[in-house]
Amino acid sequence: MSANAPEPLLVVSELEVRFRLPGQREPLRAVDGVSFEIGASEVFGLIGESGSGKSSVARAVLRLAPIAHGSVTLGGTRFDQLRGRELRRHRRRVQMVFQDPHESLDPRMTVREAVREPLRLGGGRDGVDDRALECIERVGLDSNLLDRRPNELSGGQKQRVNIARALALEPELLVCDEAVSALDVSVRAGIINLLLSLQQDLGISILFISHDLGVVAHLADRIGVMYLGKLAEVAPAESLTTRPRHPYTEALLAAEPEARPSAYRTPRPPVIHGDAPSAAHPPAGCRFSTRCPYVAERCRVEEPALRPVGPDALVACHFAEELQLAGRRG
Amino acid sequence: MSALELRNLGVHLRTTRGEVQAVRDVDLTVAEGEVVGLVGESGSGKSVTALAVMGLLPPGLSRTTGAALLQGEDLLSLRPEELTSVRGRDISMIFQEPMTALDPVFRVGDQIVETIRAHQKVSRRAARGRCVEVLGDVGIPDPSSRARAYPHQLSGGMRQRVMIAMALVAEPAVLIADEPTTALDVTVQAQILGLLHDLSREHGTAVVLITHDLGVVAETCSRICTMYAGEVVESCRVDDALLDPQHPYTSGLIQAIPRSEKRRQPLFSIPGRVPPLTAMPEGCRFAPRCAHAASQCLEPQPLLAIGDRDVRCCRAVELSLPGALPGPAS
Repeated sequence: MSANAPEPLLVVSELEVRFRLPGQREPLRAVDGVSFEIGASEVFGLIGESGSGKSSVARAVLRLAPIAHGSVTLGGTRFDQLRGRELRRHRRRVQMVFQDPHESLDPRMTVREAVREPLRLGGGRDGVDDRALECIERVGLDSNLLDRRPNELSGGQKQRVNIARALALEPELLVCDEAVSALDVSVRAGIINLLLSLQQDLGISILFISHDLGVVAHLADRIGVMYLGKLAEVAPAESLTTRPRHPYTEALLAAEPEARPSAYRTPRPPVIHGDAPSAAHPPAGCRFSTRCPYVAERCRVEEPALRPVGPDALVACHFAEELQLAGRRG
Repeated sequence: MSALELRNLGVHLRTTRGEVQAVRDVDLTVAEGEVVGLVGESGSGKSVTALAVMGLLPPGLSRTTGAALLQGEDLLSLRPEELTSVRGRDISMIFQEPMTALDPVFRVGDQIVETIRAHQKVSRRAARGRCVEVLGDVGIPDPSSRARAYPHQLSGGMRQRVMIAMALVAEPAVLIADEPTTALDVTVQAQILGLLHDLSREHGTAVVLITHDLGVVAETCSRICTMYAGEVVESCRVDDALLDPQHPYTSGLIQAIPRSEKRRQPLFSIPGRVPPLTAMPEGCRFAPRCAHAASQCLEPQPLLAIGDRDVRCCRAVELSLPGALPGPAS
């Protein structure tokens, strides 16, 4: 973002989310000092493997997980400090879509009732029906589904209902946590198209969290890569995938299977070994040092800070300037 | 002789609404040392096919027709006790979630020893030695101490390695892997797929890899068999399917995958949904969702041999469908 860019919609600063584990004195730091911004009508992708803390970031932004340290600022308001009525008033500005489209719906409610519910709870009386219909139409659901219940809908239709519910209160930010991961490929494409059109037509901002780099790279303007509770790299989607600057980003790109004929696949570095260590006992120094193919002595003792590298990337690696890492073709 | 050959396999399931045919007319051949991808979305019948071959469908509620030849011997004609000794020795299966396939109250080493001693007359001590050896083969570090671990003490990737070790300990001719990496992180997935590929090479195991992920197929398999609504719709070399798909459903699946050259552009999404088993169309089962459907598609569609591939589409020769490469030539 340039120096005179408009105020970002969401500013997450030094965020920490901790969970107390039974029988453990030290809390688990699921999110350990994460900072990023999302601009107006920007799609920010957050990617990472299990235990990286990406869902905890989402839950903290939604005020569903306790914030131990740091701040979440939404359009100039300290969202993390709001309480009671004030919090309820501002909550409509951030809405969410979860992974399991079925679990997120009340089995007894029809499509119409499900989309009316947030409007009713938001205090609306007049125009509730019209607004509900408008949202249902916006997400591409046929009007003959209005009186169906969730068990009469397909997975894709159910996720559209969830998105319609999220849109009802005209949020500024939509948080999607693995929102397309449970869907079949052909259905997933339709939901991805819908999310893109919400950004492009309604100017909505999206925090899109997924483990699937291909999907995130398709949707996002910028991507943050998380590893064990910290951001490893933040960069525009295109440069992150074609020219990664953190060895973990390179490893993710190398591991992602490519549906291309063998002659057209990008040559890639060998796959990294082992599993990610437990977030309860992160390694000293750089958290990726135990699996990094480029590890040096310094990495095991000194934790790298997330710092600007090149014109538009932030990278947490001591050797970001020296390493020539392999990405995908453009 | 092929390691595994399915001929005209059909599976009927008894439901509360009467008998339905879940799988129809499936032909599939897997040679020694070959990895074949069985691809399809939810409800395509790929897992039911595998369970029918393994004889794992509930006998009172299912009926399997046709033939499933394991090195020439029809599995479907075996008595239950004969099948029990074939399973695990000559043909094995691994599943998506290793935690549910392993017994939580036994050490993983003991579970592997039990498998060995069920099929081979060896001493407990010899079986233990073989167990540690096979755990080492699947890339488990420090196998003799890991053999003493309980399943919950291992990561998801390690548990799947244990499952593969257990499936391969008797050196079966055929391994069926049903979404073996879907629950795993992408860096771990790459390791497991590499392992399956190498094991098949080294031991000559024929592998049927069931997956919804065309990327996984592209990188692991030599041939692909695409299923839709209980039928094989296209069966050919993976590169042929990706470069020049001849069935509109295969082409649709390929178009639905995000790719870097089409970043932030709408993806192709197959309209509609898979018809329920109780209401399958008489003619082509994909026709209601197919952009190329014509009057001849209302007739039942046989699997046609076109060159060295099989396609269930009467318009396959006249249609030119887009594949995995950009540009008009694809």
